[in-house]
Amino acid sequence: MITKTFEERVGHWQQRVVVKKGKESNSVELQQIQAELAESAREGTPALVEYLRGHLDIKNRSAMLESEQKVPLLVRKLTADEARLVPVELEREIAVSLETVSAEDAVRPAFWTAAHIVWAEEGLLEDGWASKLVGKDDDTTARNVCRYLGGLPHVRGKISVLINCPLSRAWWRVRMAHRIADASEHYLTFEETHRMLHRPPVWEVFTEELVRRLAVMNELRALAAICRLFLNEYAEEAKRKKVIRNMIHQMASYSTVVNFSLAPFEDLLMLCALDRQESS
Amino acid sequence: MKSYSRPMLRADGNSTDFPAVKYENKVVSTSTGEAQVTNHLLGTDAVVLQGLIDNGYAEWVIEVRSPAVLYSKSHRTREAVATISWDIKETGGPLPVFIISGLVAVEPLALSSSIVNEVWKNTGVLEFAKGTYLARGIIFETKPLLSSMLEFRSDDKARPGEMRIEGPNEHIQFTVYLAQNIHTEIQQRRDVWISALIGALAKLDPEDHDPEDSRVLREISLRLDEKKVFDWRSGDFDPAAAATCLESLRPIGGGELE
Repeated sequence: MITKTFEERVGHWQQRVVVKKGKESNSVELQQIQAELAESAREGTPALVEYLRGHLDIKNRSAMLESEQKVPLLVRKLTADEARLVPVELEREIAVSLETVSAEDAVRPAFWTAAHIVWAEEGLLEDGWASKLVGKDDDTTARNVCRYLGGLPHVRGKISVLINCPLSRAWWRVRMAHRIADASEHYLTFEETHRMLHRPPVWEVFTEELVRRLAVMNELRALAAICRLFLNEYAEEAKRKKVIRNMIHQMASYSTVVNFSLAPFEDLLMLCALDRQESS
Repeated sequence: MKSYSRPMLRADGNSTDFPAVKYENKVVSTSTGEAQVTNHLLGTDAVVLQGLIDNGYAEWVIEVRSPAVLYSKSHRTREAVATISWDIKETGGPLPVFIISGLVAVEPLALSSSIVNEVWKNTGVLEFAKGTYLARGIIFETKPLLSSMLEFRSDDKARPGEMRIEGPNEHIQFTVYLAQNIHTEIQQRRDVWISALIGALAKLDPEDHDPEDSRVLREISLRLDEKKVFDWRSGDFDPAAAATCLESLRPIGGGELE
């Protein structure tokens, strides 16, 4: 488990370096804070880690993690590009190396921030990784750094840790791919499901819809039915956000009359496929 | 394609499909990942639906859902009162969990239209496909203990840094009024949470507040006992020690999409 105090420090630091648009702030002070962060990112990964150690008051690793806990190490050193846009095969390898991480930790941006610091110190993130996060201005850089370290919940909401940080996203996406494939009654393999979730914009729309709206179902067999259709009959339409969203909403409306954990899988496929014309 | 549109009984009372059956649905939960779920069928025609359960055609399905971690797991039972549990590490620790019950056809079944509302009567025998809901419960949210106990409100009239606590009400909920400058930072302010918790715990009275009467009190007492900390019924009760013991249950925050 991440320590409460470290979690608070990360939250507090994020709120200082990134202000939600439309919220009042001392712009001169904010510019100075963001300039310092951006400068460290420009200098490279070791400089960014040094900056984080200072600003998050990290004297040693026990300042971040509760006693005895260790961040699992990555399978190998990642290049700057791999750590920003993780290829599908590498995403699986990373998830295997992180299999001891619990959902309770994985949902916390502070855990992933701690993990990135450990990985950088262990030489598992290329020195050029941090400089690739530099954006068009210091505000963009500050947002990028927070997102890539584990997500920016006070701006992007609870889904940020699931979609904005490439390495936490890898963990969540592989976990869901396993679960959906297991629930698919052999209609899907893990590899097919993971490839489907990895293909933009499927994961982004799935998480936005499923996390934000309680009324939308989380039932794995329903998600398996949708993935199965995207893999075959709806392969082209699955590239469009609107189609994915409509299909999830359609299944959500059926979830009030059908229990997806009990209905035959063939029926779920038919329920997803209805109203194709409307969806497109 | 079979139709899943069938008469449905609702615990919220928003259905007259089964005029002579009433569905009562209740959930009593702890923040340690356990809940007692009650699904009672009442009324003169309740025996018909109960017969479906007794003969293996229908079961209560109880879904535990934690959207923030994309978690969903269904439990099946024929019992009207069931205890279910889940691993809180899997549901995201202190994040809220939702519990949704329903009576579902676990085999294809036929039901005489004599017990349903007039609008369904011209259909003769009603066939329910496997997976169709016969009854739907209420969505219950199992709030983390401290969210159930403390409600933070902004007090426009308070001077910067000020705090006052009112309560508890009958549900053992305290209202914590905070000056605007600290209310906006509440998720990050451990000191404010601790102070509010000390203030709230100090208001518990050994005479008036019996753990047997309240889920919140029961859980506080249990948590303190686990850590060998005295509760408010003891002469050695120390609100500060109790507050720091309970503080680890504080929920984590989150914002909205920009």
